[in-house]
Amino acid sequence: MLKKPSKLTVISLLFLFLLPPAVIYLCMTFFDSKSYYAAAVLIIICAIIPFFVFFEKRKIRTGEIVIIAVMTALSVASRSVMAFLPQVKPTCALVVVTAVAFGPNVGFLTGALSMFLSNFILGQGMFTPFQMLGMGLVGFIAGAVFSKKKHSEKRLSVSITGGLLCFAVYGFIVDSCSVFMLSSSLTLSSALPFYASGLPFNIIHAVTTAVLLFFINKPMNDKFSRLRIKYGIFSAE
Amino acid sequence: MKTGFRSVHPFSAFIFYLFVFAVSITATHPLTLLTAITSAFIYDIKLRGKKAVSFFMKLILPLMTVSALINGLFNHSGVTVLFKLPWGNNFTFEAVVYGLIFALRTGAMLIWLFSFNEVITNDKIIYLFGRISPKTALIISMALRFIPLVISQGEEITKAQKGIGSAGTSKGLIKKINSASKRLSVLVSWTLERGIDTQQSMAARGYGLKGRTSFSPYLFTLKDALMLIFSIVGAVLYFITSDSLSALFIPEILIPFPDITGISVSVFFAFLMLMPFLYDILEEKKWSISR
Repeated sequence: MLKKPSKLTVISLLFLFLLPPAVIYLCMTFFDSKSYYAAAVLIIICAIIPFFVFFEKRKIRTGEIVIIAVMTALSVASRSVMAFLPQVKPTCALVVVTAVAFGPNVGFLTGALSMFLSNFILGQGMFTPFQMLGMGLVGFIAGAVFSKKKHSEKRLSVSITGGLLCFAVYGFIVDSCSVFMLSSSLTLSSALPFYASGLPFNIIHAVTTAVLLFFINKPMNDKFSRLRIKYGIFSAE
Repeated sequence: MKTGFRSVHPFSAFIFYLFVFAVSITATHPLTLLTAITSAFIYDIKLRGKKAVSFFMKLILPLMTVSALINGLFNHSGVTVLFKLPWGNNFTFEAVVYGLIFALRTGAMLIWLFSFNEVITNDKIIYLFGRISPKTALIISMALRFIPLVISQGEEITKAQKGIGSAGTSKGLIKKINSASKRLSVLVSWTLERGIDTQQSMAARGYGLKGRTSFSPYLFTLKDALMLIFSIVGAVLYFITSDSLSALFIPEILIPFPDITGISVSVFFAFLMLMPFLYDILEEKKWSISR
């Protein structure tokens, strides 16, 4: 029972790194019309699908569904609860906390679904697939790095890693979307202005995520373990 | 009951939108792109009226300008040099035109997304993905139920905390964050317990047992089948004519005049993409006559 999730993790990682090159190759040989956006969306779909397929095929653990649904709802709703502090978007912090407590697969699903669902409210846009992949990967990486360690020793490291992931992974992927949307030539010099214009926003997002993580990581984990003891239905991967 | 194109079966409508998105984002021939953006715009005006026009003026037109400029500044390949940039690179006509074409694609996609959000509503998304991935659909519908619950409970918690003088009154960033995370953690406890309640009551009613079916309010009728077939035919035609209906912009602008197949395919595309608009108009006419 303990070995299964890690095997799934390995397979989903393989999918993540093998499928995109295949798609790039297909796009290069079959479409000569330069649509980076279309190619990027195809790649993202390929990268996201394995997680959902494995989630679907895996023997279901009811606690997992509750956790993903509740944490997704919380991260979507917390935006409006925290509206009095501008620029603080707890979504990223909540996804990281969930991933740290429940492992990479739950982390990915929570992240991807949070973005998908907040766009239910804001309206789906061209950013949706990029946001889903970005936040999903933040959850996946945070889960992969931290889920095996003890909760007590990682307050500072979780908050720093969370901030870095938010900046480097989520910020980079979402900014890439505007590059693919607006720039017809993919060169470093044409892409840089887009990343530069996103920089201040990403820094604020990353710093607030790190600060928030520093404060909420421990209480949240206490809550999870309390529920674990009380109901005995969740288990960390 | 929704009328017009919104009453089309979600599957047909979804395939239609996939086709339209694919065309909008990959087409190179100006004729195809103009067809896509014009029909999107017409339907958008039908749905949103003046808002659609102001969206076009305020977002799509500036987008085209910016995209043309950025491409001119950073893409230097092209035969017709308009002038030299101060840092020595060429500012070419081709790059500017290519930027405009690029913006047309993005613009078409953005306008189509508006009617997409109007036509493919959230319940339809859940219906569609529930077929492929029931667990994910369950999570999504649970989470969607939880969002308003969490928001109203969050407001209640804030009020209670204010009542005992903990929230809203404290000054200083650290204190504010501390009190916010306290509220968040109260909210989390409450939501998690509520989630377990939901899950247990679902289990008690036999969720996930074999032989259970789910209700759906959508009927697949002849018009939905036709819509689906049209969309698929459109996609196939788009794939076949990708040679004759394509244009080259860099390094030289080559826009071939479409041959007879190209023209007839374009007419078919125009007809297909105007379908949502025609659907709505015809239904309104029918309604006014029957009255």
